[in-house]
Amino acid sequence: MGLSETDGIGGRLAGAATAADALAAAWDAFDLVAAAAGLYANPASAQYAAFMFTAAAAAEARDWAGMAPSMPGGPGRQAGRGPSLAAGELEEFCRALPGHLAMAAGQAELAGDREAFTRAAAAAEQIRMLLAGCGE
Amino acid sequence: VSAVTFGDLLYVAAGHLAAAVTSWDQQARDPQAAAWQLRRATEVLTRYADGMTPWEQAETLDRTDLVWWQRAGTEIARSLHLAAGALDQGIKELGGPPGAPEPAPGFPLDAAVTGLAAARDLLYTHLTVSPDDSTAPRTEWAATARSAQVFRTMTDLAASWSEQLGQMAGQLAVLQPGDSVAGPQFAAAGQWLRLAGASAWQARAVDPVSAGDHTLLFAIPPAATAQREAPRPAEARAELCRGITLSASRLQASARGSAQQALWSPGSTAGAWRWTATAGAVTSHLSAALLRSVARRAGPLGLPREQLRAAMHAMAAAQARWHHVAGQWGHLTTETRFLASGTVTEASDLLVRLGRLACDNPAWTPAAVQRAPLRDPALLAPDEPAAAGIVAAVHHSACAFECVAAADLESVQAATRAQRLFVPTRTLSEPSSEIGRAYVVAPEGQTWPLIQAYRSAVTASARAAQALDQAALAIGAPSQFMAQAREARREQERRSGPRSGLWGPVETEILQLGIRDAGLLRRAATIDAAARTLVAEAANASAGFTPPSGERASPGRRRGLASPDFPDGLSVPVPSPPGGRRRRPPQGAGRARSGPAA
Repeated sequence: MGLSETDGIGGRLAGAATAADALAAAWDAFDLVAAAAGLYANPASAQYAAFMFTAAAAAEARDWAGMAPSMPGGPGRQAGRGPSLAAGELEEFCRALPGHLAMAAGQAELAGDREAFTRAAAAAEQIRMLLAGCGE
Repeated sequence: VSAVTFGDLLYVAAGHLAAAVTSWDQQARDPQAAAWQLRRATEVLTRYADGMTPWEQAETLDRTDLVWWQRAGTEIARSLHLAAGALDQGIKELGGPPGAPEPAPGFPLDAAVTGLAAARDLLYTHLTVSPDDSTAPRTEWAATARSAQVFRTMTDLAASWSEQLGQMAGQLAVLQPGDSVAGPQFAAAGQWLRLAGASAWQARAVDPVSAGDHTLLFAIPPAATAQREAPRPAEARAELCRGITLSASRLQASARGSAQQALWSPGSTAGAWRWTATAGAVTSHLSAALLRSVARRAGPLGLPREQLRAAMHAMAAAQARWHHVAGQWGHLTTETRFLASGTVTEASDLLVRLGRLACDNPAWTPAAVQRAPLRDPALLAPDEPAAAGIVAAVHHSACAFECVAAADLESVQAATRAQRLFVPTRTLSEPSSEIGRAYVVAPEGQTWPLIQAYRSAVTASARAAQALDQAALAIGAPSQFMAQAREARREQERRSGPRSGLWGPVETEILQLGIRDAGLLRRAATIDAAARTLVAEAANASAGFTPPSGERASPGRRRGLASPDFPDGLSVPVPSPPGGRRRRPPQGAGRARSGPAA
């Protein structure tokens, strides 16, 4: 179920026709990452710091997307639900995010949207570095 | 961090002053230079006395136990001002070129003046002085610098030094020719200075200065003004501990004043608060791990196992509370996005160094790829000094996050009141009239749990820092003086009673009106304090208990403090000695103020 959700969000992000679609998909993507990282943040694990900071970075990236001018209002993903993702799947999902967001930034017409995608891409890159190797 | 403390500078200066007294016969042969040196010494003492008089500090106003020292401080300041006036007049009568001449090399009084001025400068590095001369805390040592203990000790020392200067001024007067008009002025100055010296006798009898009060002076370091030192690869244990201490101090400094900024500053963001809470959780986690490792060395090294374990458990509890705060942020956000700030940078440096100290990887970072097992306790703390150094570093870190927790709670509360917290409409389960917007103001149902989580983090962080105070004292860590100072501050808060941390009704009313004027708030706090004292006295009276006279607040003082021109227009009543007789001013003093003595 978790894997299908990441597939779905990844597909929406890659195939978004408008900035609004891309922002909504980005918001859902980072919300999912924040929730998953929060679940993995266990003090007994040596990766506690990595997951804690991943959750914080994902929440900030989500808010960048959410505050962008073209972000649509109204209901979205069942926010905050913890997906049953393996750590490796989470890492793999995050690996693809910077590229999708950088592409969306290049296509955005509004400066506010461009900045939001750029900032979210930077956060996604930070998350990718934090999680690299977490599934090993 | 620094080897030089306030007490060090003060007592070196005191040594020079004692030397000046014994060699004054020779120095006074040049009356011009000697008088100028006396004038400078009086001036620096006057600055101490003026700064020490805590009329402006609302938190000391219900300190009935300090009343004698407050009176002494006021009288000392008044006498020193008059002595300075008499010295000015005497110098004028001596003639010579205007302005202070350069003192001869090795002039001990000059060295004393320089030392006293330097010590005062060090103390004030912990305070921010407003244009109206009121002070506000700038560092974690500010509370100690303005504590009852330091106030009492400094007033006592100022009295002693005034007495010494009085002797010197008297000698200078005697050495003047019989027809000199400067001589009586110096004599008057000497009398005023001796009166300043005598002003503390009553306070000394009622509320003597303890050895612990003196010790506290030697705990106050200069404020950390060093630049940021980013973590470098492969730092040794001692470097890591020093870096943690430095970052902790800078972190506390940057956390101060953030609550006011939370009302408007784009730098105060949900992202920054969430990040800080995350750093609090990870830092507490690493600190607990370090304390666990040091506690395991308790047997071989003879360390205080109980205190170390208590600190470890308290730190683990703080980790859980910070973790909860980070989770409670949920979808809450602010209208502005996270930008790097001083708090984030310092917390980041601190966290990385703690990780490198705790884990067996000199390149440790939060990244998963840098994860490493904890260091072998025997390698981490091979001997007692190493263990003490680690406890001190963790202690500084805990105190910093205690401060950050309090600052962030205040900031988040301020942001909530200012309706700066929002939630995305995507997360709303029911359609609303604002559904067309991406965000709406966060409902209380979401902000309240966050604020409650912060309150728990504040309590847990304070407990962790206090547990580390005990551990640092027990192990003799380099931070033990800070622990003593913090204990002194807690003692002061305990003795000051219900004022601590609570706003009275008048102050609350003023705050609710949105007024943040420091002068008005001080007046409001003063009125609240006076009301509390009045109620307490009335309650005692109705129960048939009469407090000692020294424990009663002066109604005149309260009125003065709450007046619209407070604190500048304060009229200070001159206390009467036991027996009810008012002291007489020194002979000739009136002339010294208004013109040459006859």
